[in-house]
Amino acid sequence: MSGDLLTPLWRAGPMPSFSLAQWSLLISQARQSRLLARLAVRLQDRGEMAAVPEAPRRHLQGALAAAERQRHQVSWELDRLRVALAGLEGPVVLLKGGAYAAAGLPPARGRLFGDLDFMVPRAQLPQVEASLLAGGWAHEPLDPYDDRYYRRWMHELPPFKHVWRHTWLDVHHTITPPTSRYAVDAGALFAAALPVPGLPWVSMLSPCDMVLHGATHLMLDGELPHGLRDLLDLDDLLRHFSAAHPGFWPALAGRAAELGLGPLLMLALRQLARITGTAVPPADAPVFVRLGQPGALAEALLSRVVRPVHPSCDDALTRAARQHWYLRAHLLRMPPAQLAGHLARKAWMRARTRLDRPAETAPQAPE
Amino acid sequence: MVRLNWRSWGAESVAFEATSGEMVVVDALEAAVMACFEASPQDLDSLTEELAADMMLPADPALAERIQAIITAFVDRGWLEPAEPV
Amino acid sequence: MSALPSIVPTAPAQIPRQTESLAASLRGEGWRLRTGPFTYRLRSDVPAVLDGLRSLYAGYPGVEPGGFIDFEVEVRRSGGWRRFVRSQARFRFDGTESFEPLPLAQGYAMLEWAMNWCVSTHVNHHLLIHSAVVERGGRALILPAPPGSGKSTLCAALVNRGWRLLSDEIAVVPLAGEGLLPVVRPVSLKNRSIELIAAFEPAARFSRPAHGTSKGTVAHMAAPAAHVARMDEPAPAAWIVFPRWREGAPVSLVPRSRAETLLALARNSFNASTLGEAGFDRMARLVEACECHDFEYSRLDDAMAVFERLAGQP
Repeated sequence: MSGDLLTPLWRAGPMPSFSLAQWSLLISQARQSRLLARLAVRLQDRGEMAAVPEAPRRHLQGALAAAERQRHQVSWELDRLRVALAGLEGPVVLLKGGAYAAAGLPPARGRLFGDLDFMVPRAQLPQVEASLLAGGWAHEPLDPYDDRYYRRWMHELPPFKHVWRHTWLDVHHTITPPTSRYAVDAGALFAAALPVPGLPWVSMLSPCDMVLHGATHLMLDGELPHGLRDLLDLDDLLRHFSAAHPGFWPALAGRAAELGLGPLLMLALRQLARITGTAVPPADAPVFVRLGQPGALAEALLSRVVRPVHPSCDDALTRAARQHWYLRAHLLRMPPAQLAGHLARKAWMRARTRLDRPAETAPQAPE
Repeated sequence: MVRLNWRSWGAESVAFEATSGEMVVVDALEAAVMACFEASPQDLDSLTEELAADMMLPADPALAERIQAIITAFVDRGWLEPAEPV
Repeated sequence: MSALPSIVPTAPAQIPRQTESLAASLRGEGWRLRTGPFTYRLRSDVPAVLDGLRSLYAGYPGVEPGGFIDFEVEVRRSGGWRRFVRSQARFRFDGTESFEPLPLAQGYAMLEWAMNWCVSTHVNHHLLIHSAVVERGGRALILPAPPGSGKSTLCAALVNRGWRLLSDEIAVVPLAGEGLLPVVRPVSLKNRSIELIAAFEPAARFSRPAHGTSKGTVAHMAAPAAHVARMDEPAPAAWIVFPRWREGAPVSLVPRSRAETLLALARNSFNASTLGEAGFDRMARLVEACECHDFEYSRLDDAMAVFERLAGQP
């Protein structure tokens, strides 16, 4: 496990001096973890990019350029969304990457954006769906069984893909599956939502809710190819908000208790303490203690699961840990009776990955 | 948000919108319409007159219709937006 | 599938002392190889891969010990009980598998495809166009390649008629300067094209054909040693020609407008959208610097004559 060159980089301290062979491994790990651009941003911010040898530096700069481009494309996509939803009454709350980009929050830098996620009140879903379909988005074909599972049991409509821009949208009405033991009161989220500076048509979650969403997303997502990235995003948010808002930490603990998300937050915070050193200030520790201790098994699993997805970072237990985590996450998401739904989602994820890159799904003989 | 880059060769131009990354071939009239809008907001009648004069075309309803169609296409694409009513 | 008697897998060429250890390297620490600006570490236990590399990669530069590796590629036999039931080759990049396995016999074709995929998906510091590139008299000809264009056949033929191979699949265009960077990997051919080129150039060397791929039978033609040796000589582009093979078509070379060429170039680019304005600028410069044509043909000899004339023009 000494092969993990990536995770240690996120503690404070200068970049170690790596050999070219180590750089090869690091670039490989970072790329696989979707952290190549973020690593580049970090090196650039700290004035360490010039010291990187040319061969690996090209990959870093390429990733930086790609992330920069994607940020522009996200802003374009948001604007198209604005036009499509222009007639809608009621709030549109941006989530995750879309919110980070729109509000210029630290996790937006060096991010490789995927879908745009946003949340609307449940009652508005039909109208939102109609507006999106009219605006050139469409559902990828799903059989009626899967379709029903998404609409009824998952916390999102089936995803939307724009017919000629080929960009994806995910529409939510809450931040955790309503069927899970961590179901939250979506009304409370909407009530606390804040406007996005400069974009009057859209809002974002309050700082506490944004952090909690990050933590729950991490814990309840069974597939964690970018667990480390999600943790680092959370780290960015915590540092940013705690610096901007005095009293942020106790507010976070209070909100976690109120929404019933305490254990998930604690799990995430303990990982962060281990990886980046970000910790609850000692003065605020007592309120966090009341949120409870995460289970030792969950912690051990998660520690393995957030390692870069790379053979160099695996030990004998990693694969078992990932499988166990996958199952656990899905048990958390829905009662066992609905567990079959996860198969549909997995199939959908695979199908969607293929549809995104049709030219690369199967090796084809060249022309 | 809209940032247009142009390359022109004779009667044909290529417009590249840098934020979205979208690229499209446009003919002389389409390019002229966009050039007018890049300068300032326009209304259909004065735009039709101006372009008719510039390009030595008759300022007739057919031209106005064509220009309207061009504007609609650009609005759909997101490169033009109806101006806020005063 | 009709027999192809004229295609004989090439005997291991002049790979010197490395040959004996090629198999060992592939199975162990990996065989490190440079193709133009890109370095790979290849690992495989698939016999077809060993055969293909041995036949077609003599004389390719290696990577100095401890040198940087751009892409880690593994093509492995599937393990477990499947090993004996129906052997498969699996491709892993950065240690991760994200594609369906293929029959073992297609292992070498899979490797070539994988090496292209690494570049086309993960290189963002150069502009990449899906096209063949060949050079004559210090000037490069770009042949962009929508499906069905017959670009590979044309490329293979040109390479055997005085044109230097830069790439059969990906044009590597640095954002600054004029020169396109050679990659010089074997030229992929399929089905009838294999026989056609073998007949066109009897001295050409091929991998063992792989049958039953999604596109039929696939084989790779070795890049001539002299071209491999010039891997580090870029060439500026002078022509962009969109090829189309059509049964019975008379040969024709028709100018295409620069605007349409720019659009088509972008459509055929792997990363133009990622490169944004810089990519647009570079493509526009490319189009400015080139004569742009549509080309249609059915007979290779006719095609060669047209390009010969093109090369002769100032």
